[in-house]
Amino acid sequence: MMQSEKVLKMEAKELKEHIARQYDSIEKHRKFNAFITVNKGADRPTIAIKDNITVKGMRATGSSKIIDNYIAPYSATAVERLKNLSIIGKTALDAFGTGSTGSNSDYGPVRNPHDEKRVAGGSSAGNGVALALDMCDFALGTDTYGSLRSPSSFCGVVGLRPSYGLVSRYGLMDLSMSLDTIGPMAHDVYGAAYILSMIVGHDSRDCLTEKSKKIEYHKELDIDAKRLTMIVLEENDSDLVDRKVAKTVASAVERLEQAGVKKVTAKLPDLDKSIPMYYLSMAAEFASAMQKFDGLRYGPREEGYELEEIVSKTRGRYLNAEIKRRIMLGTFVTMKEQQSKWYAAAIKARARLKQEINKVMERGDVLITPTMPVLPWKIEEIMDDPLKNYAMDLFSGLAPIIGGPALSVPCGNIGELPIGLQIGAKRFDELKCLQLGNLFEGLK
Amino acid sequence: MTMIGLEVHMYPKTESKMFCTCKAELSDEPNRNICPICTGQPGSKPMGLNRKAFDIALAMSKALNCKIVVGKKVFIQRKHYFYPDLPNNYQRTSEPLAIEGMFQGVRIRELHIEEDPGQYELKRGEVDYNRCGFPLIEIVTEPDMKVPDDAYKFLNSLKEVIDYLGIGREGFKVDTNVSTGGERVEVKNVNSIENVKRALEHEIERQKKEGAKRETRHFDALFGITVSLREKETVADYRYMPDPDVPPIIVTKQMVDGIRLPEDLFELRKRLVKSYKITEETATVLTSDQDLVKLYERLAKIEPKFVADWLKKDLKGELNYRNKSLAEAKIDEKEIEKLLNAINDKKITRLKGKDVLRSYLDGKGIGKGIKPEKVSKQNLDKAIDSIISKNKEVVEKYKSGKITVLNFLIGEVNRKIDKAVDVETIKKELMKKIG
Amino acid sequence: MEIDRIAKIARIRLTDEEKKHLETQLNRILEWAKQIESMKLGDEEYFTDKTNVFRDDKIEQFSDSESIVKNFPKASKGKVIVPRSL
Repeated sequence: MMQSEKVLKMEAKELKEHIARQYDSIEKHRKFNAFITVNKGADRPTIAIKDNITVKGMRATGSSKIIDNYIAPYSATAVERLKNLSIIGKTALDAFGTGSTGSNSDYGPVRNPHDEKRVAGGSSAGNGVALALDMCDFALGTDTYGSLRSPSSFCGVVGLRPSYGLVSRYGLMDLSMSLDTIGPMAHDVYGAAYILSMIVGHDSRDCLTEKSKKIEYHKELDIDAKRLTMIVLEENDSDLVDRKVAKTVASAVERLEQAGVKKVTAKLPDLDKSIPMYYLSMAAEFASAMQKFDGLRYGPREEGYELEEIVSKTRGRYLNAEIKRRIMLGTFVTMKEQQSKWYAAAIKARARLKQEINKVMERGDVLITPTMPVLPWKIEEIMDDPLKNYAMDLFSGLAPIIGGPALSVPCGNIGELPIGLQIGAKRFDELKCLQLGNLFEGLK
Repeated sequence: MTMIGLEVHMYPKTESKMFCTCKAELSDEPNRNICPICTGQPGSKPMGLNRKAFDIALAMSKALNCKIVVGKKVFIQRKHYFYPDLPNNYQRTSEPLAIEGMFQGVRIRELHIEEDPGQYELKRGEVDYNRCGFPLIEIVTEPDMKVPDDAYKFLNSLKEVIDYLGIGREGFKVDTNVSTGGERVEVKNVNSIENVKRALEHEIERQKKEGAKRETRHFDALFGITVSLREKETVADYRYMPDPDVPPIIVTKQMVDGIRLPEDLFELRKRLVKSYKITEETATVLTSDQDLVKLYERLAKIEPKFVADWLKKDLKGELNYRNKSLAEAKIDEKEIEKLLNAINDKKITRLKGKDVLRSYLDGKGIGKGIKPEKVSKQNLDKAIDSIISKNKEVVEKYKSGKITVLNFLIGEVNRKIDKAVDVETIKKELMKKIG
Repeated sequence: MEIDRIAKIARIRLTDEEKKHLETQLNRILEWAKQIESMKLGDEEYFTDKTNVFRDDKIEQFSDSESIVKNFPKASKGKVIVPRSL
């Protein structure tokens, strides 16, 4: 029985001790900056909630000082749907999701649980650390372009990005509205599946949710390996991928083959173009989403004689550099004279990539790639060069572009540092990701 | 060559707001009818578009004889600008739902829907979000109007159609634009039909004297002048972008066919005048409410001119007093028919009929009230004698030449006999007795 | 790339140093983004297929407007206070 299932079946006394150990770990590991708010008195299996998801009555900062003192007046739908769990706290992230390292939190860089000098992955960095260091049993994260899978990979835990429209985004602070998802993170696939079952389903408060059949994912994990075909990308082995990572993923693929899973290969030559495409369209959506932060209705407020002054000073002071960069980029590409050149082009590129990836997906049931192309790098190495960071999203876009699911499961280590295997599938086919992930877990 | 164009914002009559389920009503208390959605809380998302607002937009499109955009995606866009009454600092506004219409000789360029911002009281620096998120329908005309009176007439007719169809709330917001041969000037913040005329009259005069440059001016109702708004930016760039949180609309033929409008208001009035021989003015009052004119046409057979007059004065008077529309009063036509017949057959007086109507609207039946109460000549004489003896000073005043006080005496008699005799007869008998 | 104009539209007050950095960085990002052009794009449409999500005109009041008002940084008698104008 996997850890998650054990916890859910614990008797009261054992659970109490288990939770006490979690609070100890939180206390002991403060320097990892995983939590922004800790909730006392948890008495049921615990879940950490990323701080860009609202919980009524609890502080919600999005890891940004611009809403440092915001107390959420409502809970996200996904949070409301959680049953029989205790929220143990709100975890740190790259502010509003702007990063894949966890270093862009306004409340201190989130450190890798296996090597505190390295990045934890992001943007759901706090969740990755909290799970890896046993501060909680489950976590609720968000994934726009890898934000949930990157920390899963770098911290050595399981994370699922669900299909777009499967889980309501109501209560999720926007990064890129047409790509944002809320998803589960856990110690094992069973745990991720268990949480997923609770939060899926149509919500009248998110127009983009679809009516879907109620599946209890954690009860449907068994599958015969021979019934599955995995598509392996040639780009898994490209120059952009660290040799050690490529090798570890390749050996994971071999193990799956030995277990009976069929294999086909495919290539996506435009894969690297997906990154700039994403950055332009995300920046446009993000700039729009960030307009609401003007110091008038929530958050700290700078003073001035005129409105424009108050708003500009507040935003200038409390928005961090990466946020400013993306707002400026997004504003620029949506300006009248620029739209057709940049924004429209990004939209079209996305539609084209969607076609290409969907065509590749036709060849099998699941798509296998590394979750991240490299190992977690040192926090000091975070350069002032945004492009180097952006290049980390090489494999992160495959699922978002088609609105499909992707699961990251640990598949090996290099020294202390974990490597994640990414399992993608067609839209609304997350069960296949979970089934293959569960099968793979069983092989190790 | 003067050219005047209008952008009219009307409020469709809905229960809830456009993208959330808050009550669409201004509360006495500020920030009461609000929720995370209409106050732009982090993480909030718009809900599905208010179907009633959409249907009313289609109805208006038909009433304005527009071509409705069918079968093509109509996006709800974000129009970005920073302003305290706009919690997201963008406004959701749709692409045109209908184009190329014609109303009262003025071409309609397009019609679209949008959400209202909150209320920002500039002088006190206060913001209230109760109104934020109310649905709005914007109607843009071509600059076909040539004199301010054209605009006045257009807006009046528009208001009449909206009232007749029963689909709008109180209050228009109008932005005007006018050129007198040179540059086009926008005049904003004109909040009544009367003020539109005043603003345009003043602006045209001003342009003739001072010339015109392309700008936006603000109408000051107190002084009746237009004032230039401080030029803060060059041309505003709203960075329109489709709202990723709101799926676009595709209007189908089915949706359009599903909107059935009653007979055209102006055709209807002409027909009423012709068929029932009532005046234009009466026809206008009757057609101020769809339900009222329907009621009229069903009861006109009793006696068209009388019924028209009665509905216009007696019924409408009572409804106005109670601040109710005909639909809200939930009237049983058969009961009204009984009452009208009783008055028409002179079984009860019209004044008595008013009392009966009042108690009916208060919840009592019509039945008893219209039983004719025969008052004998004897009882009438008794009543008159009694009133004369109780009001000797008034009688003296009448005799000394103050003729108007007779009305008071008539009223008193009428009350005493419970309005069972018509006023003319009472007057005659009173005058006989007094001398 | 008129940094000042963009910063004004975005309402962000920047220091001179920030402006300098941003100009460089944004230019680099756009240069990098140019590779999209090599994709020879045609008339691909917008990326979602969903349409017509309507809602019946029913009222359901939010139960806690107080908690929204409590977050207003500067308020008086329930209204947000901003500098006066006009």
